[in-house]
Amino acid sequence: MQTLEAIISFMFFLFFATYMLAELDYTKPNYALYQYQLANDVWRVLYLKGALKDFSSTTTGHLIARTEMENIGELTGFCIYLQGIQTTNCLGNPGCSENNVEMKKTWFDGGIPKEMTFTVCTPES
Amino acid sequence: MIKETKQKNSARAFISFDALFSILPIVFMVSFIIQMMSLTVSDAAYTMEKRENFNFLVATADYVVKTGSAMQGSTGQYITPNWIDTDFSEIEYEIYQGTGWDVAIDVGDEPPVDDATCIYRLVVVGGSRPEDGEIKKLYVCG
Repeated sequence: MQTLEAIISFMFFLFFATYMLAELDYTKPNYALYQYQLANDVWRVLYLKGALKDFSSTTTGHLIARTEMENIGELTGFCIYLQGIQTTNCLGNPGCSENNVEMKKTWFDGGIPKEMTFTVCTPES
Repeated sequence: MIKETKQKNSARAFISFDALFSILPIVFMVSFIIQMMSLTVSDAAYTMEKRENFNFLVATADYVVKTGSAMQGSTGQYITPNWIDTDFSEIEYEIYQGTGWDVAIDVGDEPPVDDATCIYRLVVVGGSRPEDGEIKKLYVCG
């Protein structure tokens, strides 16, 4: 009878151990790297399209950047913010979901390297 | 003598019934645990496979965008990541030869295949310079 009890206890232990191991994070896809790659794509595409060429404190530069940001926003559904919230394709949106990527990027303002905050996020539904 | 035998038999029958009713729940319990274990293990294996596939697609897409299909700049010396050539037949074959994974790569608004895991990257296609190109989604499915 004790052997039987031991076998059943061991089986319960095995079941819980398997369940706990299966629930660990290593089996779930990790989207963080992919989100960073997408955010970098957005920056890179803006750069390639020349949207950051005249991006400075002038209104025209911001408008050019915003046009390209709106194109990207239409394609992907992302909200993009340059220099904090100064330039965005999501004016008056309710805010970002938790999956936002924020990074510091270097850009050239008339040949002078400057740093700006660049944020890409999925808007809250 | 006969009465004694009858008493012994009825005692044995009672013990057998008692044992039967004790063993049945144990058997049910054990079979339930085994089934749950196999279900949990197969679920974990499926999730693991999905993750491996997703990671492979992320790595493949990064390779295609940054090296595999990236166009050369105006000087011809440097490749320009995210500005890509849209002929993917060679790179698809190269990936298949190198890894054994069959991937479908295409540029467009919709994924090229329906029944596969797909991820997308943002790229610029066309134009003699990246500024003249068009912003598109590059889908990698597998």
